[in-house]
Amino acid sequence: MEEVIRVTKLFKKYRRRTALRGLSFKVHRASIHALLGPNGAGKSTALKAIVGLIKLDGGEIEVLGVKASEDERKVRELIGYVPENPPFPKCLSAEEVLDIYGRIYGMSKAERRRMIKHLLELVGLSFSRRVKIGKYSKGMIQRLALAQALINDPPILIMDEPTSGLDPEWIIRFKRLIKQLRRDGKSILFSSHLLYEAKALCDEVTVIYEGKALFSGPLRDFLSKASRGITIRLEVRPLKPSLVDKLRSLPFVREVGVEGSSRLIIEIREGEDHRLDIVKILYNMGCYPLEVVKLGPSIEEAYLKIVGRG
Amino acid sequence: MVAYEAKLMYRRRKFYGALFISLTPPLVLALISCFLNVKALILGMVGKDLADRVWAMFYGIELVKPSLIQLTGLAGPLLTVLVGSLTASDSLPSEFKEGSIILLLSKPLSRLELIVGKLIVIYLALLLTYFIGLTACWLEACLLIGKQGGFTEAILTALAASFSAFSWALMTFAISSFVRNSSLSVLLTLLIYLGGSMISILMTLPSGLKYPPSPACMVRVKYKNYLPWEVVSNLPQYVYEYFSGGKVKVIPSLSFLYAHDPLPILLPRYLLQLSLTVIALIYLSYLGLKGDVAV
Repeated sequence: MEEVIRVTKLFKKYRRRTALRGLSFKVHRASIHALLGPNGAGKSTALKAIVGLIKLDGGEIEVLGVKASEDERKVRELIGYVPENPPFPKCLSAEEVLDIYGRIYGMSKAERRRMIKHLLELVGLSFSRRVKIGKYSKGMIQRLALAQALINDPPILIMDEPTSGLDPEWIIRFKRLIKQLRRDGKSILFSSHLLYEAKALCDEVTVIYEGKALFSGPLRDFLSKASRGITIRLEVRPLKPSLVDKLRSLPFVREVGVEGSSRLIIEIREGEDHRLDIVKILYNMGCYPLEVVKLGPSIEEAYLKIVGRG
Repeated sequence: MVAYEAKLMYRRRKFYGALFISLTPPLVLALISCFLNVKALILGMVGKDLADRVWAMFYGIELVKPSLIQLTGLAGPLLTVLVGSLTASDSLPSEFKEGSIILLLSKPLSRLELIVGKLIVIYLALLLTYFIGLTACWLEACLLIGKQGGFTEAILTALAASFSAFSWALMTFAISSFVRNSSLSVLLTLLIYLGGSMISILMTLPSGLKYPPSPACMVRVKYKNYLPWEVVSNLPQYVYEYFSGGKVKVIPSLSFLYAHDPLPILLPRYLLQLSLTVIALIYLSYLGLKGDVAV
C-alpha cells in the first residue's frame, strides 16, 4: 500500500520538556491510523508538527511525496485538520467560517456554496448554519470542525481526539462517517486515548510513549502482541464446583474464572482452539453449555503490554 | 484573509470602542457648536431684545469658542494613538485567546499573509474612522466659524491622520504579536508614545512617526490661528500644497523638519521612510508570530 504520510525521527523540545524523541511512523492510503498513548506522550505534538503548527528540532515529514521542510503550503493543502477542542471565532456563524476557509483554499463562490451545503448536511448543522458559533454546544463545534477540515476535499484527514464532546448518537454517526471517508479513499490519522474507539475504527496503530513510537503497524499485529492464548466465555447450567476443578486440571487451560452463578471465563494456553474438548467435558459432567464464545485479544492488554505495564 | 478580518472587525465590539473614542470629541464639540449658534435661532424666533437678554447669560461662552477648537486639536494626537492602538490591539490576541489561529495556520496561509491581511483591514477601518471623524470636525468648524475651508482638506486630513494612526496601530500589532495580550500591548504603545525619546531611538528616520502630531492639512479649516484638528503626517500636506499651487502653506514653526525642502525631494524621502517603517514593523510582527502556535 502506498504511504501517504511518512514521519521520520521527529524531535521536538519545549523549554523544559522533550515532547518528541525520534518519533517515526507511516500512514497508508485509504487507511485509518490511530495514535495511541497516555496524556503527554506527544500525540498532539506529532499531529501539530505534521500540520506545521509547531517548528521541529529535527526529523522529516513527507506527505504524498511532498516534504514539509520544502513546501509547507502544499502539505497543508493536502491535509484537513481537526484540532482538539476546535477553536472558532465565536462571533461568526458556521456558514461564514466555512466560507472564509473555502476562500483561503481559493475555491470559487459556486464551489464554496456547494461544499458548505453538502458539509453542513453531512455533519447535521444545516439548521444552525446561521447561528453564531458562540451559541454552539461542544458537540456541534466538534462537528463543525470536521466540516471545515473537509472543505477542500483533502486526501488526508488528521484529527486530534475527534470524538471528545460528542454525544453517544453522534459518536456512532461520526465513526460511520469516518469509515465512509476511508471507503471514499481518504487516509485518516487520529489521536485518541480511548482504546476501544481505536479498536472499533482503525486499521493501523502507533503507540507513542514519552515521544517515541513503541509500536507502529497493522491493528491485527498490535492485538497479537497481547495474545497469550485464547479466551473462552461459557454460560453453563448447572455450574458445579467439580466442573471448575476439572477444567483447571486440564493441561491446555491456563486459568478459569467464575463470574456470577453460571459464567466461566477460561484462558487457553497458546496453541489450538480447545472449545470442542471443553464442551465434551461439560456433557460428561452433566452440565449444559448455553453459550460458548471465543473472545478476541483485548486492545487494553496489548496496549499495556507494549507500554510495559502489562 | 481580508474578508475574514473584515468580518471579525465589524462583529467584535472593540472596533466600536475605538470608533466611539475617536468620534466622541468632534461630535460632542459639534453639538456644543450647534448650541453656541442657538443665538441665531433665538434671534430669528423672538426678536432682538429678548434674544440679546437671553444670550447675555451665555455670552461668556463666545470666548470659549477658540478654546473648544483648540481642545479638539489637542485631543487629536492622543486619539490618533489610542484609536490606532485600540483597533490593532485585539486583532492577534483575540485569535490566540479563542484559539482560532490554530485553524487559520493549519490552512495554506503563511504567517506573513495573515499579518498583511489583518493590517489591510486595520488600515481601512482607521481610514473610515478618520473620514467620519474629520467630516464631523469639518462640520464643527463650519458651524462655529462659517465655511472656511473645503471638504477636500477634511478628506486629506483623514488620510493623513489614518497614516499616522496606522503607524501606531502597526506598533501595537507588532507588540501584541509578542505579548499576545490586547490591554498590555495598548499600554506599551502608550508608554512608547509618551516616552518620546524612546520612539526617537527606535525610529530615527521617519519624522512623521517621531512627531505624529504635526499640523498640516487642516490649516484652512481653522478659526483664526486655532486648529480644530492637528494632523499627523506630512504627506498629504505636501501633496495638497503642491496641487494648490502654493496657496496653502505649511506653518513653518511646527513643520520645521522639512518645511524648506521642495516636494520632489520630500515626497520620495517621506515614502521611503514610511515604507521602511512599515516593513520593519511587519517583520517585527512576523518574528512575534514565527514560533510555535500554542494557545
